[in-house]
Amino acid sequence: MNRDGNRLCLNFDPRTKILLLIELDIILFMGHSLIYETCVLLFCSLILAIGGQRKSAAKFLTVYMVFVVMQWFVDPYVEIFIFSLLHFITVCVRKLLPCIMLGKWLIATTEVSSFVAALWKMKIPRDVIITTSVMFRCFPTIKEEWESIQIAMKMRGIDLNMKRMVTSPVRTMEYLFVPLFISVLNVSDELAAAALCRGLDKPGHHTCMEPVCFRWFDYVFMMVATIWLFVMCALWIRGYAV
Amino acid sequence: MIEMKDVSFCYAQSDTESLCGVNLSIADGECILLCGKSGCGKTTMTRLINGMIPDFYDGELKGEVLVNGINPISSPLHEISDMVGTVFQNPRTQFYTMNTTSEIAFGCENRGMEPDAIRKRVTQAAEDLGIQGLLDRNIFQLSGGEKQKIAFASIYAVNPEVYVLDEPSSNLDCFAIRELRSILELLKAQGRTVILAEHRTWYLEELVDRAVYMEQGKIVREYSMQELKRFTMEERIETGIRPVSLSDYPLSEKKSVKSDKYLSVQDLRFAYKKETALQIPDAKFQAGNITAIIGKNGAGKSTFVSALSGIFKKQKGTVCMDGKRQNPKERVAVSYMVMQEVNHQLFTDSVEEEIVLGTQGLSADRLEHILEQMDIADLKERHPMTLSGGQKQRVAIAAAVFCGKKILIFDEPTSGLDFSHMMQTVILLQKLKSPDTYIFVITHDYEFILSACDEVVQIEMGCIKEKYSLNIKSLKKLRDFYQIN
Amino acid sequence: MENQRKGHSSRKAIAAGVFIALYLVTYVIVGAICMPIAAIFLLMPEVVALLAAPTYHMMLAKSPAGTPIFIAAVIPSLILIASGHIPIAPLVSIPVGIIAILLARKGDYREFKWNAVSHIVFSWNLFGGFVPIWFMRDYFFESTLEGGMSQEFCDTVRSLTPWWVLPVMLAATALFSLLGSLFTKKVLNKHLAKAGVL
Repeated sequence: MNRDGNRLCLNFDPRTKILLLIELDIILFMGHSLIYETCVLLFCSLILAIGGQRKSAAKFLTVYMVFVVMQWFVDPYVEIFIFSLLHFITVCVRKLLPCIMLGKWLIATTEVSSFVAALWKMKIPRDVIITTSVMFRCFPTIKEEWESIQIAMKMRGIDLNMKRMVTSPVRTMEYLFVPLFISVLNVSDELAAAALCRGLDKPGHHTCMEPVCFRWFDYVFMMVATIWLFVMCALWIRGYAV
Repeated sequence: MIEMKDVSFCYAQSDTESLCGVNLSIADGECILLCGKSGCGKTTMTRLINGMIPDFYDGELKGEVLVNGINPISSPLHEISDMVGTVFQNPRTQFYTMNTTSEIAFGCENRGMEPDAIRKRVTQAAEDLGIQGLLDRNIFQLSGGEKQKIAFASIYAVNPEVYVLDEPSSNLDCFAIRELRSILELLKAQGRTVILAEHRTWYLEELVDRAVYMEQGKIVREYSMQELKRFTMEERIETGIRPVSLSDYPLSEKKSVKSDKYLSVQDLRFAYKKETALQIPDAKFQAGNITAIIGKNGAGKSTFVSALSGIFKKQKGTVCMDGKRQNPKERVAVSYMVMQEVNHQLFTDSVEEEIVLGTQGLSADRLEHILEQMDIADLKERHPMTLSGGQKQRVAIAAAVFCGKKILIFDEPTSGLDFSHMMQTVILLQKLKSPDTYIFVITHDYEFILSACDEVVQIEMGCIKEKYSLNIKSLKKLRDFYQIN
Repeated sequence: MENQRKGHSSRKAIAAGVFIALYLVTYVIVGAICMPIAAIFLLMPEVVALLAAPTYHMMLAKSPAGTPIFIAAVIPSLILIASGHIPIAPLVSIPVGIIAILLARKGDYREFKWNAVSHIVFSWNLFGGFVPIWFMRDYFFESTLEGGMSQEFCDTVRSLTPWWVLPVMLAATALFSLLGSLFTKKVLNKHLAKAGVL
């Protein structure tokens, strides 16, 4: 938990974040009325506000309100094409706003290292954690290698474009894949060498510098979301619509 | 401390022995330099000590290796990593995480240390190595030298007794190499044993206790740094050991090629994500010259040559070649860049195909002539990826020459090369000089510049800071840049 | 010795991670090109199947195990959830991943034939994002508009997707996957074997 001046910023455990995202996504689709949607959105805004993204929360709330107002104005004129288009946009973005909010919040506030630490805590097999963490780390490297190969292809006059893909697809794919695979394999080997020479495969417990653990707010929010989900499921089974 | 008794090793895919009856004894706290030409076996020696043989490299081993009484061949790699820390050559691919602090903590985390202890070690490592400013940053945004320091810190936090370094300076500029030197001084003061496999020796004068010179898998003799300093040019070419003292290195006379063709640049600008990366108001380059492009890492050297050769579509300004204005697309058609990472530019499965790639109308005579000129005629059917680094480079150059490219750019062609191969590259580049060819070389290699280049361009923050013909008078400017007195 | 084997398994896990990253990059790039244009929107799984086949085979060559297959099959659907799409995708990708593993396992993850069959099924994991077109029709079109897509886009796609298009797409994806595997076997593997890499 950080107190940054007078700003409250709670460090949710990554596991909490994932659970909240999944549960709230499902909760969102179980109700249809505007009031219900607003409740979901407010809950998500609360999470963002105390979870470190106050500005984002305010921004999303504003967008939501704008869309609600827009829909209210546009509703009577839906027969006109341009307004039906507007209607669709406002309704749809609005409906999915909580999902987008939580997704962005998860990605923005979770460090890869905390995420990996959470995986270790969950006692997921070592090889799965290695594969997942290497995956994240490799995106920028693959991008760099790919850009470099593209420059080389340009210089040789064999760069990728639609025309070449159609006239000689096999050759083009060969020129594309061969240097890419070879450099990716080199990356993989060098990465493995450096990691194993630092004890990656040491048997026994693996710790993390920033330990992740559940705190009171994790439990509170998880409980609220889970109870809400149960209630909605019960209502749905019973045939009530909200 | 480290003992090698009668060690012979042969890699699994190879017929010849990489090491032949090697006997070496290294005491605690010594700093040893393993030197010799490429392929002499020094890297194999490091792999025996740090445990990568046999975990990574299969082969047949005879003899005995002991590190602190433990046999690194039969022990698992993670056990050896407690005693022997390795810093690799390539800063880009050594990293497991994306954040500097996590990276430094990596080794400790693998060992199951308590979080508090890990944090203490990380802070200590950052303090000792002077990198507090690099903590908690995205590794991908660091320069090569900074990345190398993080790699060191990661090993330092685990605190092994032995440090094994495989050509740590090959991707660094001279400023970063000086910082590397201060880290090594620190390690030496702490009594660590340091084993370096290196070509560059100028930064090691005060550090190395013994230089072990190897040739074809055998230890030929040992030198002191003072003896290496007194080497003549012939001895350097024979042993491949780079000069210890750069200030004595002579500027050579180059055959000059006269030409009246110019590549002129006017108001060349390029912005990368709204930030101006390059701004050249006015510059002129004469054909028939080899121009060295120097500058700190991140100064904009690659940006400059990329803009010059027309790779960036969104560049602004005009570039005129031979009096005619050329837009980026036209320039790309006549430019060729031999990249530092040679694997990115080899596309086919035979040397012959590689050279004629992208051209129409094969002229068999011309091909034969170029193969001869580049000394790769007997490699015609081989797959380019199976060649040695130097051979790959010659194939890349042959391809450029075959399609008659006018602007040739070389990105660090001599990094990681021993002295004799560096001189061979010099000769090769001199052969390419012609009245209508423009040759640019991005390089950190002082000896190479003095031996091969006619002109020097210094780039700083995307602008040309200095541009001069290299002669006795202007040599001082170059030496000031390298801080050689 | 047991620890040495463990070292090798970590090395394979790293290779798997690198190739899965490559697969995801392929997926994202093809998606970025195909998604916004109505006419080729439905071609996305096919093109990905074609371009990802070499990556899939290489991944299994360097890391012959079931876990990478599962991770590669499920991650795209998780990305869809995290970016605000309907959380239905895992319902497709998880069973598909499991079947792909079982198929590849028949050849011990090393036989090309079984790996190619496994890839056909694997490529169907992308349908997690497309299945709503038929099974949750209205919701799908509403959520597509969220991305700023035009009404004409939705109309075109709606007209292009009568019920029989789904099985056709599945078959087309299988076909493209086979083409990709064929390319891998006949062209790429030969080249890489000559290079000494495979």
